[in-house]
Amino acid sequence: MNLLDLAWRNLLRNRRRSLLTLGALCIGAMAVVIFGGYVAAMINVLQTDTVRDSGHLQIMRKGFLDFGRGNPERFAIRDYPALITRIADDPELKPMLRVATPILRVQGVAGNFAAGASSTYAGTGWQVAERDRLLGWDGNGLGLPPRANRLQADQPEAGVIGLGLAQLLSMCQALELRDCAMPPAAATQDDAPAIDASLSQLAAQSSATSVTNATTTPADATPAIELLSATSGGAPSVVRMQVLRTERQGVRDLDMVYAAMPIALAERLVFGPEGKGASAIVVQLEHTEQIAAARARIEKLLADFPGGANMEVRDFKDVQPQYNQVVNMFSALFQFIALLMGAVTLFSVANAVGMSVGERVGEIGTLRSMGFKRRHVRRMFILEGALIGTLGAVVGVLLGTLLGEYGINQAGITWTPPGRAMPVPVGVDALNHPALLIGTVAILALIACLSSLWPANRAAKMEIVEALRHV
Amino acid sequence: MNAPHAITASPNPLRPADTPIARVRGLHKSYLLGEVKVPALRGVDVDIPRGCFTVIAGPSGSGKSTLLHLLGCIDRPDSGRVEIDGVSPQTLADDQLSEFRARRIGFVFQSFNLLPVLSAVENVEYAMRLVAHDPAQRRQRARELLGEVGLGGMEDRRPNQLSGGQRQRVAIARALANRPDLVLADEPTANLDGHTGAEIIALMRRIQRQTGASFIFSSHDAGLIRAADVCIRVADGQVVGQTAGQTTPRPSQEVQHEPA
Ligand SMILES: Nc1ncnc2c1ncn2[C@@H]1O[C@H](COP(=O)(O)OP(=O)(O)OP(=O)(O)O)[C@@H](O)[C@H]1O
Ligand SMILES: [Mg+2]
Repeated sequence: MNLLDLAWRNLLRNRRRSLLTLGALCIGAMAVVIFGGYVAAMINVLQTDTVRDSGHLQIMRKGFLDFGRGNPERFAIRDYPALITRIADDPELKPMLRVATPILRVQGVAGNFAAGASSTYAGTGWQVAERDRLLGWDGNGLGLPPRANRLQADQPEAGVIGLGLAQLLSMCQALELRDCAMPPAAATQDDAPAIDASLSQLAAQSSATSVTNATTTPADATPAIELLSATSGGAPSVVRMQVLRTERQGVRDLDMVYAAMPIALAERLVFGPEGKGASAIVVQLEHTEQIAAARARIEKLLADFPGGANMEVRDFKDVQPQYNQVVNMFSALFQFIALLMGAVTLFSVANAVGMSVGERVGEIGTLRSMGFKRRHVRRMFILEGALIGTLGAVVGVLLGTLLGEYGINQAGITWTPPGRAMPVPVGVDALNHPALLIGTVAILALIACLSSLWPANRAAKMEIVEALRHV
Repeated sequence: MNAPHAITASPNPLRPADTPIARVRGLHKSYLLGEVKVPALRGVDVDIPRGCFTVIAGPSGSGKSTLLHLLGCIDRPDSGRVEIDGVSPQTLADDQLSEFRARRIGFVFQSFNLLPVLSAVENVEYAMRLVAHDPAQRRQRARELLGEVGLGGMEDRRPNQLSGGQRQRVAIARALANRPDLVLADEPTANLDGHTGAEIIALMRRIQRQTGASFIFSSHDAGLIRAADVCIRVADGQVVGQTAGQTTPRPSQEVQHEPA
């Protein structure tokens, strides 16, 4: 018979109370595991979604994130093909690398002259085939279907715009859109003609000089818009982009300006007919954990690259600050739940051990008079609290994992990550997070020990004669 | 009778047989009942002889329990001195005092005070944790002690599966577990019927003879008091008389119960 055995028998002595305590602890541990697993799953989804969009790392000119939008030309990496080749051919990066592809940010005014409508746009040029690969990343093993790339490799003059932008450009009918609002009739009447005149004039000028314009004219079946921007020299440039379809963006302000296009189209807008350049090189790795290694290696490569001293490597959390905001929000929610459940554990164990002490005052007096020291009494009760705490935490974590993985995960819950328009399936991802499971058991067991400390000390402090009177 | 080695006399070679096991001088103790100070001991001076079966006798409320608590080093006096086997418990820190009790003093209680979740043999064994470290040895000695108090075959019963007398026998075995020099029993028969009580006193007396340890029990039962070697009478918080009882051991069947 050892002390643990004694503690166990004393717990069995009042089965009802021990079961109630165990139940409370179980529920606490279950809540922590299920919610923790749910948060982990959502963060996984969010990370997958973010990495599909922005890659893991982006190589850009220093200051691009802050000032690049205002001056895409100045912050451009002009000889990006050489840099991409250098990265793709590097033996150290090769096993980690999935995609290294240029993107080019461009903004200006978009016009649908046929309808006399125009609005600002903020667009991105992509290498279409590489974007396919980006959107198919599933390094977290979630089995999510690739996000659809609406750009088409065989349509070099065609792009995608946000639903909001389509509405602003009065393209609902042309694109045969449902849920698309027409602008109020009177709204554009007053000032539209003036803008229209100058814009269409520009468009006409540009068309006359554009090499590619000849190939686009026959494709009259596809609706098109004019994109206007300014080239390096400050000269206005205009490109005609066919609109393949619209893509609703989750953030309204983005939906109103969103445009995605083949990078060649964007390059023509920013640099003129023969220009080349990228705002950033998007680097996507096989796994998120490789970020540090890959970044270090790329920085080394940049040091040897002409102009590399002016470039920097930023990770997806820098590029999309909302990632960390959402993760922090979830973490805060999780911490709140964990704190609540810690408090539940604290009070149920303190209560159970306290009642046990109250019932066994005579026993305490007996043990002390036999010669057991105060610390023996203290240890006895702490052991009881620790035992029930650990038991409750272990059982709760097991039940929570089972319920999460085999119950909730079969229920088909979906979630729309912030800023996205499409829901994705999420569940409880507990099994892939041993730290969550072990941490829950460890912390709850620790709390159980701490909370039995108080009643155990009370027991240890009792005066022997006083305690013996309670037999 | 063949004494097994579980119970053997362990005379202390450092102390001559005629020095008292306990020496008490000017002992005062009072309790606070709300605002009121209730005196329980009012200047007790007594020497308790070594190796004897001593009874502290007196009416209810006379201070028997209080005196036994002070002799057992589980309470501290307001003033005065207690000396157990030459040691003044007043000078010991709390843990040292526990250590002292563990090695030198055994307790038998009125309500038996066994741990309900432990079997008879485990109750005896548990006390031995204080001193002996080999579990196999502990188990062995606990079984022998239970055999000695007449509970052979009942080692694995829980206290609630034993009668009052049997429980008190377990408690006696437990008190003997660490070979104490002094065994204290505060009204060990008060929760037992007369016949069983007499049996328990007879058992204690036999064991006292076998071990040579000093036993002190309290009682207000005239029949049981007669079984003692030495009788210390207390009344109203003071010792009012000390008499040597019959020094020859009386056979247990002759011990009669008489209501006090
Ligand atoms: N905890 C206490 N609080 C207040 N008074 C107490 C307390 N314990 C004992 N007393 C008082 O001290 C006196 C001596 O009590 P004690 O228990 O020593 O007597 P006793 O001889 O053991 O009596 P009994 O034969 O009834 O057990 C009594 O007057 C009693 O009321
Ligand atoms: Mg008493």
